[in-house]
Amino acid sequence: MNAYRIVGTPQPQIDARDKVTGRARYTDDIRLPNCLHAAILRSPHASARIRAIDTARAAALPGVKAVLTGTDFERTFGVLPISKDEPALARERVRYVGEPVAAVAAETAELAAAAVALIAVDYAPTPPVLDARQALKPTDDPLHPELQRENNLHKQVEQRFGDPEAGFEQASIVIEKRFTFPSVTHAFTEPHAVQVEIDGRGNLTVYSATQVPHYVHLALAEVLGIDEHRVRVIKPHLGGGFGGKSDPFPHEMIAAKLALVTGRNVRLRFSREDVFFSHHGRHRTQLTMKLGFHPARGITALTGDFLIDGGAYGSFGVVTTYYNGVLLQGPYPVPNFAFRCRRMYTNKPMCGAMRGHGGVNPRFASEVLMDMALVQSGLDPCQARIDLIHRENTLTINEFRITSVGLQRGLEEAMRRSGWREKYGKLPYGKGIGVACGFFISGSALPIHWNQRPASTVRLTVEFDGAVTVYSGASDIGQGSDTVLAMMAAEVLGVDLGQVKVVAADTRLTPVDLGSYSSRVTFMAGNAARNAAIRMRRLLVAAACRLLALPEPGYPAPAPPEDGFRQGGRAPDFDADFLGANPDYSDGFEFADGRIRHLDSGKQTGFIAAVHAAIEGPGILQTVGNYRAPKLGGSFKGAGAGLSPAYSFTAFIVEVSVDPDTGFVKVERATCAHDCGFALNPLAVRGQIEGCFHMGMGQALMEEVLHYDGAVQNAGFLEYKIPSPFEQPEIDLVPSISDESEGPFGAKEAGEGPLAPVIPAIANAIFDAVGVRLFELPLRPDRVLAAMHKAAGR
Amino acid sequence: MSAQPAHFEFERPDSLAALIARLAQLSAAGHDFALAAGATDLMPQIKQGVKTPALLISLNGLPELAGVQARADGSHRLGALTRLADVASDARLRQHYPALCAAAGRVASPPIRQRASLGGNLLVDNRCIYINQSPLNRAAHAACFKAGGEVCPLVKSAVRGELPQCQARFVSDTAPVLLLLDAVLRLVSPRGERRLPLAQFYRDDGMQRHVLASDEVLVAIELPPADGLRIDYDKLAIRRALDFPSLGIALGVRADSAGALSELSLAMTGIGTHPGCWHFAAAAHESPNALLDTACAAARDSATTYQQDFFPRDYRKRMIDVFIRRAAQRLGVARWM
Repeated sequence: MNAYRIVGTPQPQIDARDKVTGRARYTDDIRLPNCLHAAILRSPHASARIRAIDTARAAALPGVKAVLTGTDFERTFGVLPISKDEPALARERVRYVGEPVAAVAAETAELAAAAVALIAVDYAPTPPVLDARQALKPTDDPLHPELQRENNLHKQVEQRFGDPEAGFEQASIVIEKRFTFPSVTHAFTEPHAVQVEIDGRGNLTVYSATQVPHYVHLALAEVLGIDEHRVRVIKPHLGGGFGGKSDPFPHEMIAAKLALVTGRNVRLRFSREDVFFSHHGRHRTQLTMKLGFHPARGITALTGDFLIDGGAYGSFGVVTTYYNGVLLQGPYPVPNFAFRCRRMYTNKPMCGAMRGHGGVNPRFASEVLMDMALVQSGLDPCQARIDLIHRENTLTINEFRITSVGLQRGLEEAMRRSGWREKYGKLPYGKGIGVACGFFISGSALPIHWNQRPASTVRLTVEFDGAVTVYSGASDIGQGSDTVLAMMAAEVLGVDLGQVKVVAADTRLTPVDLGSYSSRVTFMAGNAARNAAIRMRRLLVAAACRLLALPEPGYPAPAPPEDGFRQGGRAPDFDADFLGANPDYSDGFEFADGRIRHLDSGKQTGFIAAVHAAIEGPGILQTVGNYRAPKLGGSFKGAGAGLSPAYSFTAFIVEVSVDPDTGFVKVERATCAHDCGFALNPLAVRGQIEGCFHMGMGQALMEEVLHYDGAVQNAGFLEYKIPSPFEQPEIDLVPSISDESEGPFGAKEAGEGPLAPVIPAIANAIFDAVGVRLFELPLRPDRVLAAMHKAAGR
Repeated sequence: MSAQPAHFEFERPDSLAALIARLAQLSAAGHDFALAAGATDLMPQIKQGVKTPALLISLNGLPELAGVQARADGSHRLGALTRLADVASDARLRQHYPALCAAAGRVASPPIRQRASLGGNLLVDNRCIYINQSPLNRAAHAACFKAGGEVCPLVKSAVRGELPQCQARFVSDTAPVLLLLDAVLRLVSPRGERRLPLAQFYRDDGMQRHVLASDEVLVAIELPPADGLRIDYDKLAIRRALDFPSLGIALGVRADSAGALSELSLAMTGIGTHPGCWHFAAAAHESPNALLDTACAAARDSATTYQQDFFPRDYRKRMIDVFIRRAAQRLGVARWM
């Protein structure tokens, strides 16, 4: 079953032509008839009480149809049920510069903006909390008094496994360092936008640039106080998310409320500045990490204390708080492990999920410490890492189930390709080579809202004309999920890729998928699509058998769990025709070239003939496939965080030049070994890895959200420095070589995991080049130069 | 939604005479207008509400401002509208003034260089992180002088009306090279035409940046023959594209008839309110190093840096020496004496 026609071959995304020719419709491209334009008034204060809001002048402006303030919304919301702390419009107080305070719907965008300027808000400014350390101090006026805390702590997580103190005793090297990371932001191309269409019965169709249509659907109904069935959320083409569109947002609530109030269609879009003020990026982080290492024993203990600056509201912050610690459970075994992470509320735009969620900053720390330990031990940093990486089919100390691991071979190959042995420690001063590894979830095993439903469900139809349609709730945010779902369906059904249509991310037409976050889509929606296609294949085989007077093949029941490790003790007959994950679909038939051929007899019929035969009875050919994660994990508090049915592994080898006079770091080339299992679409995998490198390099060398009195100071792409194409090096990609038995066709994630090791690999290469370690990002030229001068005693 | 959509009238005169007549009329009426060529500097400021002209007059229809002309004596006239992309690629300019082409090619990005003009780059507004901001950011603080307020976040002791009142920094990439080339500006206003050396054009203030009258138009840049002058330009920027110079150094060397170095010239951008420009006679120095020491000291001593840019102030100042010495190395200054 390994000779695939479509999966495993590089395929341009099915909407690529539409996107590059401008034909693709993004949210703001939609033209609804008779549409009002909405505008938002944002707070100029980081912290203030709202004494009064006078909207009379705005409301009196001809052409203004509605004005909203915080009192128009009863309920707060948040992507996590445990921190629904965000109002659609501020009530009583504002908590960050840029917080929405009032909103207007008017006949034109100009009128809406003019009306917003007429709203008078009487603020009583209060001293802002602008730093996580300041937020630790006791206060009688916390940002969120509902938590009844004495300071501005949002969430604290502490976990402890094994005996870290004993582990440090067993180490030959113990290193402890403090690290500092600024906040960085997603910098997706398409600013947030939403359009709301309302019908005569008060049903809302909400077009939104979102990664999570299902969560937006639920949040809209709850915040607006309307039945869930009155809401439909559609994600049009989307220009990048990276976690920055994975929450329900105030502007979605505002636009929907304006549509309800006015009975008119409403549109609202962000400027780039609005995007920066809305943020939800990576948390500013201060952390102390301690590593115990012994050349013969590997890592003997790892402990960390993390203080993360969450900004004004919760967003995904509780998950971030866990991920800072638990994602350190790979890529190497850590037998003794403890961490504390505290997320603080501050008067700044909120932080949330961003590519590599929660795991990126700690990974920098752990991989720099690892490098220091290996160098001190006189070990080769590459070879030693290869020797340390998790073995297949093992459990971590916190009970993550590690299944496939292809990184040992991958990193060996990367070493060869990069010329590591000829270069490491041997390049002239100013040139260096460095390595770092990483590890990431391939979909969170647990849903955000606890329920027993599948994590992803796909409906698949075949029509009279042979068109195969995949109906999936998964959101293609540019990563290519529509394409990969179509590829899998085409593979199983033996049809051309062009014959497969995808209807996705429409909460009325498509079954529930939880969204594009936690690198879950290819794995979970992919398994669901594959299973739906297998079921369709069986219907067509049955029809072909009738046409060819052949007996129907029997299908084996899903294999019973060989041990508790694989299935987590769950019975395979979870539902009546549970297919399992990634089941074999050999059935004695070949589907190809529009024909269905019985391999033993050589008898064959046309694909369309089989479709017509199969469709005769029901009148419609449709199947359903779904994916549920196996039961995983321990029973301790917080055991669910970081659980995934599979984990990806990555190594980057990076070469840099460091200018000894200016401290400028130039990344010359990079070699990547990313274990994504079977690469379903190698072109998309390459795109993801190049994108991860670009994003990681940006955070490593230049990106940083700056604030002045709490106001974002570089709210644009001139002053928020994303690397230009000149800075991006060639990346040599080692083909992935593991096979993940539970991933669709053996696949794992490729969208997030490759990011985290980029940053420490660059830092470790800088050390090889000029002998200095830096513990604060970004690794700006002035910092590199200062470290070089310090090292030289200047 | 932070910014209000900009409202302005738009006009596009088709001759210099028509424009000048219009400017006379507008000035007399005290009308608020802005002239625009590529508008790559102006439009972002209008969008951010930093500038709010009621009328925008496009220069793009004026034939008098277009084109590059080579004269028999080896001098050149560059129309102010010449796009930076054209400056960068013009074969004659590459032959006579390669450093100008190189500097023009370092401005912003290829799409911007297709629109942005050479005249516009000489007139590019001074920048400061406290003024070139979203309206919401500016609303979050007391307004600075340039925003019509009463404070300078960089110089707390500054007083409105006392020069220099604003430390917004000069960011043209082409000005330092043009200064070393002894460029002369042709300026036309309702009062007639005048020629002004670029060296007399800029002022020491981030708000009142130059001596161009509000009804005066930069028509052309005239360059004398390069006459053995070799120039190197390099800029400090975190990215190879897009960024304004955090520091830019143009270094020029001129040989005497015997082929020995006779003069070293230096111009600096990215630091300070206006470009610094110095000339040093080689004869007054006993070695190339001494000459470079003098040049570095002059630039360094003139430089007051502020925390208003991606790079910290002390780093930008420290890089002055590095950039001068590297330029000297590329020009082979040591070999010349």
